[in-house]
Amino acid sequence: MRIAALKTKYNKSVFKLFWLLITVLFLSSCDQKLTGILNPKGIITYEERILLFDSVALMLIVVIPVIIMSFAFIFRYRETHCEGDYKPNWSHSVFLEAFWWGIPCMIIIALGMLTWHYTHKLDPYRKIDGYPVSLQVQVVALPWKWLFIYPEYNIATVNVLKLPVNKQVEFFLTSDNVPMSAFFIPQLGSQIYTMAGMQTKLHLLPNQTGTYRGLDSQYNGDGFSDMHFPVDVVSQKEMEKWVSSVKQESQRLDIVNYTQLRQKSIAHPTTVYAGVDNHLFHNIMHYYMGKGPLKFNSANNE
Amino acid sequence: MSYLFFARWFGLISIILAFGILFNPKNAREMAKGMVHTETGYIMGAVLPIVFGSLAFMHHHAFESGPRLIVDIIGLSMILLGTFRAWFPEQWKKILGEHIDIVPPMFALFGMMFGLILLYVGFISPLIR
Repeated sequence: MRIAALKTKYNKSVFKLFWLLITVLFLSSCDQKLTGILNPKGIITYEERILLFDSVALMLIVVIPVIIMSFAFIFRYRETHCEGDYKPNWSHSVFLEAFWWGIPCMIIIALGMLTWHYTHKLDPYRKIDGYPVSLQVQVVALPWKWLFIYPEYNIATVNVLKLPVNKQVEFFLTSDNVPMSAFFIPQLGSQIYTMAGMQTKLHLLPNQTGTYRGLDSQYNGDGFSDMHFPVDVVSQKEMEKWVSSVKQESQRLDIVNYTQLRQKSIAHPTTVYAGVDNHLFHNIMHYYMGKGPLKFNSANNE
Repeated sequence: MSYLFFARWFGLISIILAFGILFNPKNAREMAKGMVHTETGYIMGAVLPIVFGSLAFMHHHAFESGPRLIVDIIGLSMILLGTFRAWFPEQWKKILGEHIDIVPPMFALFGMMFGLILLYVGFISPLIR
């Protein structure tokens, strides 16, 4: 008997230790490893995190009491319960119905108002209040790589994006020769789709320097899993330095290079181009709108 | 006293009382019955809600959106409930008498809900804003 009791006690201890280890294992990933919306590095993501937490809190004020009360009822009506409060004929209470329909209705109204407010405030097409647009970037989703064109600097990059800190960036996005894709930098803000023959817009404002992960969050074929890129957020001075260094490169985004980029390739290496046709982005869209073959103005390609 | 202090303080009080009532319903029901006929009902139903509600409402600023609004709404609700008890004692006693069985669990439920949202406003919300 004593051995059996000891065995049971031992098993319980092992079981507790197992759960402790599992908990520690999960918590170990919490130390400075928060990514995406939980570790915001831009104005938009900060607001999105507030919306996420407020919405979850509003829902939890119903969920947690319901869970606690479920246990309270189990505890109250356990086997030893001997109070004479059994009411077999009780069936309806207007007072109670008003409460348990009224509270969820109020929460849904509050959630609706909150979501409506933030949906308009964080509209990707809407410029961020209080900050002038300092940089425009044209983004083209290609199979399976991202092309970034900086029209102001007349440079382009593939699979690498450099942005200045504390400056509002306006993105214009489309895609070429690849199914619908989705441009997403989780730590900086909203995801936005790219579609052939159409232009979508996105406004972001990074407020901390660092390197963040950008990705395609829409499955679009074989090379989808490698269609990601680093986003370097740097100071304005470093940005200018980088632009000057890119301009020193010999490679230009001409028709030959672009035709190669349009071909399918997986895990395409990071590439920079010192010159690009300023009308390339619009010509790509016009091509899909049935306005003739893809035009390439080599005169601007200097 | 800031609205954060109130949220933390009153949130904690609400949660503790809600758990006490939830797991001791018999005691809570007897207390509620006593409240109908004694001055305890006046203190619990009118004085305390008006005092706590006005403390919360002191931090009201034109119902601006955000966590402060929750403190405003809870404070205002408490003032209204306390005022109703103080101005219309007979009606209050009638309502409490009719629903004496469900008042304690309702109090526990609302206490938990208010407590949770106030604790969120007081402790978690400032970290993400």
